[in-house]
Amino acid sequence: MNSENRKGYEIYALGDSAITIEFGKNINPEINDHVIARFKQFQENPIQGVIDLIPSYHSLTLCYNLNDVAKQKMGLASLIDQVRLRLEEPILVRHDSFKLHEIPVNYGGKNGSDLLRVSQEKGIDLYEIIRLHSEPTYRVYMLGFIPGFAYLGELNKALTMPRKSTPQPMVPGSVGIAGLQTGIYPSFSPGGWNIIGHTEYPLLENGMPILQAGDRVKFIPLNQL
Amino acid sequence: MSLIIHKVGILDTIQHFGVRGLQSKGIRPGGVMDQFSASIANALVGNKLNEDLLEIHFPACEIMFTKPCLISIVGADFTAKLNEKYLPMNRPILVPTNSKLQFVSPKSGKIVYVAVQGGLLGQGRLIKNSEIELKKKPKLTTTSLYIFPWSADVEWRKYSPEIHVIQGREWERLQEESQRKFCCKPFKISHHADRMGYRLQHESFQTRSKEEIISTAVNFGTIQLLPNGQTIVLMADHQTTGGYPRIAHVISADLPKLVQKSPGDEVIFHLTDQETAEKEWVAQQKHIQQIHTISQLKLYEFFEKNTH
Repeated sequence: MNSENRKGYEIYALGDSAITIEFGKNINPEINDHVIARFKQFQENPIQGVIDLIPSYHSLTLCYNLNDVAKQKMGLASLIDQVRLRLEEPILVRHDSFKLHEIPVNYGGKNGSDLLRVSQEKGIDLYEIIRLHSEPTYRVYMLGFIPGFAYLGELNKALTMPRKSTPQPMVPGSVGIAGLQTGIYPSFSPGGWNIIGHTEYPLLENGMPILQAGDRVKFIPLNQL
Repeated sequence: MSLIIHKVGILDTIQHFGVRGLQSKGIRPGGVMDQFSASIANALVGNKLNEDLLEIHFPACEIMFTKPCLISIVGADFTAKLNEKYLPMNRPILVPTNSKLQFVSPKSGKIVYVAVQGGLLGQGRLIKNSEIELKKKPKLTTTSLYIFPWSADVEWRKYSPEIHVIQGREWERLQEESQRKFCCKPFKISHHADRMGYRLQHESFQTRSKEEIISTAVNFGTIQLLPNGQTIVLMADHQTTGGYPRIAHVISADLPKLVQKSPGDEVIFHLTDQETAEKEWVAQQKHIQQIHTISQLKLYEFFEKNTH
């Protein structure tokens, strides 16, 4: 845990009703820690007129009510001034406090049908893939795509696979990999990731996602290794 | 119950005005596509402006009113008929018990809103033979159809192809020639146009860089550049984040106009700035607000006169 004041950010407009604060140019845990710390800051102490917050890998988007902003003398410039002031405030960026989810996974089989193909294309033994995938403690960088879909990173470089060219129907609990990312489909949807396993772990509770940006995920293989 | 869905349409819903505060969990706001028409529809029947109402595409549903209701029809013109009699748009209408509302042929626009005084209970897709209750049951007694003698001015949303946009974060990725084409050439709306997004038809745009973008937030009205050089405008049911270049964003005040375009209709994009976008929005909201105020007054007078 340390107290930091990150000066390196950029603010740009996302249309006329949202602005995005970009804290860096790449995917890395430190930048993401800043995003999440600032997300919590704006969540706990909301700015008048801001109606939604969208944290991502390296940026935080503030959606605002255009009425409220347009009514101010300087319009959007007034809101941006307020945001800049907030970003001047030092915040606690915690690198050591997070919620850990241990998620049991059945690798391969009917609901992990791409495991074999990944093994063949990568020339890596099935069990080695399971070991490499379940070894790290992953960070939930962000949620997006569909309710509760968590982008987890980073995957071991040895397992890097391209997305499928045509999306396929996914069942809830499908554990997939694409690029340096891994993730779990929380509900029925089309998807292009390579599915290597399946979990019964509930990812939605009354429609609300369990995982949150900043949480950690550890996969526990149920297969006999 | 007050309404029965006799026949279902292709995409008809009881629609809200967007759920806010959940995008950090990947939950999109959703809500009505054409906020202008939906707000006017609510204003005309004296509802709060963001009351839940019917959003109807063509082919449309068929609705049976089993109680007298005060309704309004605003947005696309699908030729509304009540028990075989043509209904005007943009007006309050008193419908008696056992009235069947149908939409027989699409003339202009893509989505029509039907507001019912008191607001509709329940949300989501309409189901055949489902019964819909009103949140607040107005005390209406009428035995015949009554069309009110006033109407709302919806000229605001003229069906011109001009749509104003603000440059997006990745605007500079477009090559100069593509930027020029984007700004003045007419594009057609493709057949891939639904509540998630409208795809546009044009020559492929060329980019300066193919560098991948890190997934980040998108917005209602964001114009994304797809890997094949084509573009899509994100609509009300867009995902919360995306990884395609965001070349521009349609200004909020012009979204209703764009939403009402059907496949084959033309759009022409014009670049504008935040200040203009704010002014246009404020003027549009003022117009809606005025209709709301006048409506409430007129409805009050009307019902006072007719109950004493």
